[in-house]
Amino acid sequence: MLPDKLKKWFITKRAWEIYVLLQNLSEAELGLLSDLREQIDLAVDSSTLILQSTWSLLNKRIAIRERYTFPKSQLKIESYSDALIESGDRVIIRADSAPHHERDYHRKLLARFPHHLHDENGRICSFSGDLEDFIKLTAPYLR
Amino acid sequence: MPVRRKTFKLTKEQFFAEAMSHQPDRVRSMAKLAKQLQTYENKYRMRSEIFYKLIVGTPLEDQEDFLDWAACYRQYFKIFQSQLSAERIAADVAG
Repeated sequence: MLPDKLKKWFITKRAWEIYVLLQNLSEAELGLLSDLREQIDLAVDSSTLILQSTWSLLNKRIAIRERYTFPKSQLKIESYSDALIESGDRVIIRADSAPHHERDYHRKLLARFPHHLHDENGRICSFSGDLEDFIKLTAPYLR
Repeated sequence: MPVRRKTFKLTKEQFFAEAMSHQPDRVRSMAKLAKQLQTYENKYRMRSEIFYKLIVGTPLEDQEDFLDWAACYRQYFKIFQSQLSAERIAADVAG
């Protein structure tokens, strides 16, 4: 089993990648970091990282949830769900890896099952599985 | 045009130093998670344990609240487990 110190280092590295993506996207609210530190510690115990970044002036937030395993002393994202949410908790778009959909809304097989995106009309679309691609998709909503 | 609040940006070194030196406050974290779980339990009139057994891993899970609820429960349960085993070890040592 991976020592907690090393696990924390891997999770911190991943949190840094997420932090950079969010910072490049738009200026995230103050308070993100204190939550990040707490969430990193929670993730060491639970292997589940939950990060939220809010843009209160736009009434929007991004929720990132990732679940990790540590095979061969490496961090692996076992499952995730990333959502762009507006006030009233309405989800605008969401990407996740839950294996509940095999086909997109055109009835075509998902290009990278189980990764899929729920678009703004609630339709299932193919998705790469990369957080960076999800963040890019959220950019037009955060201008 | 809306004015955005300026955020203090950290360098990678600062970020790692902050995160790695932060000490976990499990009691506070568990209290916060319990409050979040309670909110969902009240909203859906279902205990988190039952929700996790019945909904998680099924197509019903595929909505924002449930994904969030499941993640919170996973965190809560794992921390609860680790606290319990730490207490047992302490009791064994003392005993």
